[in-house]
Amino acid sequence: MTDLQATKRRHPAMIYVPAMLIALIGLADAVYLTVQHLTGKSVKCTVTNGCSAVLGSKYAMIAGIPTAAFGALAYFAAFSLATLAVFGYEQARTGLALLVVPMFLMTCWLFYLQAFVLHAFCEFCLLSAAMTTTLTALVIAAKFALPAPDTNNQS
Amino acid sequence: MKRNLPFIIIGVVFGLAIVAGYWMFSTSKPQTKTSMPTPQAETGGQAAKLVVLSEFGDYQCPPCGALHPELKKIKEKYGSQVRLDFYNFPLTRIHQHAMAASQAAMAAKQQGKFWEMHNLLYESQELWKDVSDMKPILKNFAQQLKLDVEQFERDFDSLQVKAAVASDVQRGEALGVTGTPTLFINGQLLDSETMTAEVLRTEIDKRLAGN
Repeated sequence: MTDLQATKRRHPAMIYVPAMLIALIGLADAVYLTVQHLTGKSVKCTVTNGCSAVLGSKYAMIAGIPTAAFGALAYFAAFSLATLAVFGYEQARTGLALLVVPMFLMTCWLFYLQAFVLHAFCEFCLLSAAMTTTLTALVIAAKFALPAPDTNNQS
Repeated sequence: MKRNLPFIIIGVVFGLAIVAGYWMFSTSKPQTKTSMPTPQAETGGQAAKLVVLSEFGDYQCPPCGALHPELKKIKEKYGSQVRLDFYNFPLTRIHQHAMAASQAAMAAKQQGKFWEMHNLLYESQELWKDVSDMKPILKNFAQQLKLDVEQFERDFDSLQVKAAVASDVQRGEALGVTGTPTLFINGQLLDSETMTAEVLRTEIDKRLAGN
């Protein structure tokens, strides 16, 4: 194995293992919020004061489905793609890069709603925003730090 | 084995997410630590000729609006023997203006006019429940009650008012409240299915006689 080959093998894990962990935290957060929504319980904030205002607002549902449920699906997809990327599935890297774009845009929109429409912040939503932002940063870092995915050379 | 490892990891995480979600769902029961005020609790254990009637209400809920005049009549009849407490329990998923109405009542409270706003909201429920924009109506209510309107609007959007509403909701949920109106009499839940104005008076009389 040449030095170049070793570098190619080492680097994806350095970026995508943290991405897996970040997606896992986001998944746990989103599953928790979805369950709380479905059971009709209000989430108690310990750092901020706006959980009920945010999670009880009309923006907490999209087409009758809890917004957090979409987050859970997105984080699970991100986790799956990051895991595949760690194991050398290079198309998964492209898939993850495509997935984080709508996730990040949605995060920006939800942050805007909290800051300027609802004037209330929910710490669980802020945690999710932080996870998506970190995930986006990792994907951007992968673009610069790793060689471009070779889609003809799947492992 | 290595070829299948990522799929095994993904499958395990999927399974864990489902199991954790199901576990949280099945163990999600109302807490019972919170209690409603009782005359004894408020007078340091001394028996008092006071019945505390606590309502968890939603200003946009029609049954709450129907109960409102009955509670007013009860208050007029019993005077200082009955105290009415109101806790906000806006059902935001079915009532688009419930949260705004609760915030308006709590904002009016900042200027000492909670009950005036409370009455106005319930008594004009039919007028505002279907409007698209609630804010001009609330501003008009604030003017009718001679509130400092600018202050009212600031308080309406304040974290303090939102936290107060959220605190009421959390209190209700901890007590197992799921709908509105839910009434507690001296801290004891009244069965909403059988609750009528007459039953309410009987319950109050029973407690006043027992004190």
